[in-house]
Amino acid sequence: MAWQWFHRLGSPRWFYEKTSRWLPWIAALTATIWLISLVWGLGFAPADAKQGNSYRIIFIHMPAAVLALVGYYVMAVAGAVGLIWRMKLPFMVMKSAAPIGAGLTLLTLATGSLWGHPTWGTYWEWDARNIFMLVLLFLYLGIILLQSVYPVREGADKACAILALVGTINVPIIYKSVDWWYSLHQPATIKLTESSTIHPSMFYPLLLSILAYYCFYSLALILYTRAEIISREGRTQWVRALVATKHAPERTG
Amino acid sequence: MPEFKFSSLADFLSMSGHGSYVWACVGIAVIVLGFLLWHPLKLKRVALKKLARSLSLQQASPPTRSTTVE
Repeated sequence: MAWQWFHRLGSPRWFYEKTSRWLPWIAALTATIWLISLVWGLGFAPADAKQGNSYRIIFIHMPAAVLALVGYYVMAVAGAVGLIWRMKLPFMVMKSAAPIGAGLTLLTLATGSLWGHPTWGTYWEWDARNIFMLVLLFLYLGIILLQSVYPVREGADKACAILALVGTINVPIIYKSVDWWYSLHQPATIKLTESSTIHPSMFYPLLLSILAYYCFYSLALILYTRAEIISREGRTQWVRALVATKHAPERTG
Repeated sequence: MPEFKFSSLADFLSMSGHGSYVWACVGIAVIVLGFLLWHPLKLKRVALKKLARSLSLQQASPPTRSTTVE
């Protein structure tokens, strides 16, 4: 009985129907929070004493980096759940997390590079954090590629789940890299165990922008998973019924 | 309530010389995040169309040979 919710969570149909109702709300919430956090961060937060206005890139760069790392765990955990309980939906979530993670990692690297030029004096530095962030990008791209080279769906899912799980080693290395290797990259702004090195007037908009990226991540993950459900579950009755109602005029064509 | 930190719109856009970096980042973010929302919608549309076509083919094709032979 207690496990009923867990199995329902593994049902693609249940997921698809629930998220149909949630999507407009999540989209509205994401757009609202993202806009507020961006306007607050770019226009209303004070300028940094050392970096001036260039530091405002943090409101885009840092949350993207956080979600690129969190997203890797989402992908790996989904893969592990799929392997252990042999459920269909977690594998679809795992596959969906890869392009979003790759996009966010790319965004982190691009904005970091643009932030690096005025503050470090270079667009790119072979610094520990940059290198491991690049490794993260290749892990995401590797999983996207691995999905397409396997002729059999089950083989692709298993191989990707294993690669995703092995790659989790990279995430704590990225997180800790600024403490382990002395480098150009500034140390962590928000710390979990001690007080943060940031003034509340900058901290609150930063916190809000992280929240905005969490909302965005859920939105993108739901959208990708829904697309994956349609392409994998074409043989089921409910998906066929969905196609029949949505694409009725196309039958004549 | 925090106040607007720039004296004019031009000042906000130039960000005392760092404007090009900051606004380029905003532009890249809009492009990347926008793509990550547009792409799955396109994938779903393609999958639905493909499925609709294969279903209409199944319905249009005559019953299988075993029934016609009988």
